[in-house]
Amino acid sequence: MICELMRYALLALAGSACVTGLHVTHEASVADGVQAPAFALPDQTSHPVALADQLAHGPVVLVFYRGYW
Amino acid sequence: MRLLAISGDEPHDSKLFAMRLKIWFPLLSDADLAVSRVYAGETSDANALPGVTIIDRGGRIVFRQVASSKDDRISTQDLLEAIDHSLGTHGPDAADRGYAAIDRAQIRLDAGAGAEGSRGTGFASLAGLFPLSREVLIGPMLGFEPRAAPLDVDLEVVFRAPVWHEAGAFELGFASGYSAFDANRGWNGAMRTGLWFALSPAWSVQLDVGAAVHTHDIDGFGTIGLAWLFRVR
Repeated sequence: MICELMRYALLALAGSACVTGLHVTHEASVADGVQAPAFALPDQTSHPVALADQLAHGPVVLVFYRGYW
Repeated sequence: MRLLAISGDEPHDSKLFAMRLKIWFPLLSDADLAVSRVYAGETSDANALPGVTIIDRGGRIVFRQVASSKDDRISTQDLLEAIDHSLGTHGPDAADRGYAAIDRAQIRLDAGAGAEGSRGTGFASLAGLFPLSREVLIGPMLGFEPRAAPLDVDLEVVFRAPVWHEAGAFELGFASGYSAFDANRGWNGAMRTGLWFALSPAWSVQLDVGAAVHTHDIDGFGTIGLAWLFRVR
């Protein structure tokens, strides 16, 4: 079930991402094996979502995408 | 497991995007790209680099992929495999629960056949094994061997070497205890070695060969078994 939902979700997000012809101006500072830096960001209903709260329910997958073009 | 999608969009734009694509998970607004820069990186047009980060339940980053071009994005299948492998789990249910089969306690039922001297004999065992770590299990075991010892009451210790992204393990187990219902048997010892493999987060199978030493004889046996796996911590 979650597999199918994630498949749909990622296909949807993939369509919004394209970086051809651009260059990287800022490299990521995290790496495998380190503690994930804490953050809290507003969701689409403007409610804050904190990483720590999500981790209380289990592992978290972050997908960074380029937004709604 | 939770999925969070992050972009530089304002919440209002994300809301339209979510409505249009019927998205069910949070679309987080990282308007100043402060989080995106840390986790994925930024491009020359002031956008986040597309990327994926998997974080285990302890808050540790266990997998990262950042796309350097349109063709470099991780495929859905590869991401699902990365989730299974990096979280030490097997299958979509395991990823959902976020708790690896190898971390779970087991109620294990094994049965097979063997030889006691020149006689054939049957053997079965029921064990409750608690994981001290991913490498060591310990717990009580009841052994049933109709011809040699109707009931052994043992303590078993199993040492494991995880394989196949911790969905399986080579095992070496030692048991010792008391043979009940037979005055001539007394104390016994046994060892077995074999392969354990998680079919799902809740079930495993195992194949073993072993030997049991009773007061007056030695038995050899081969077994196949099924275990129910459950979370204990």
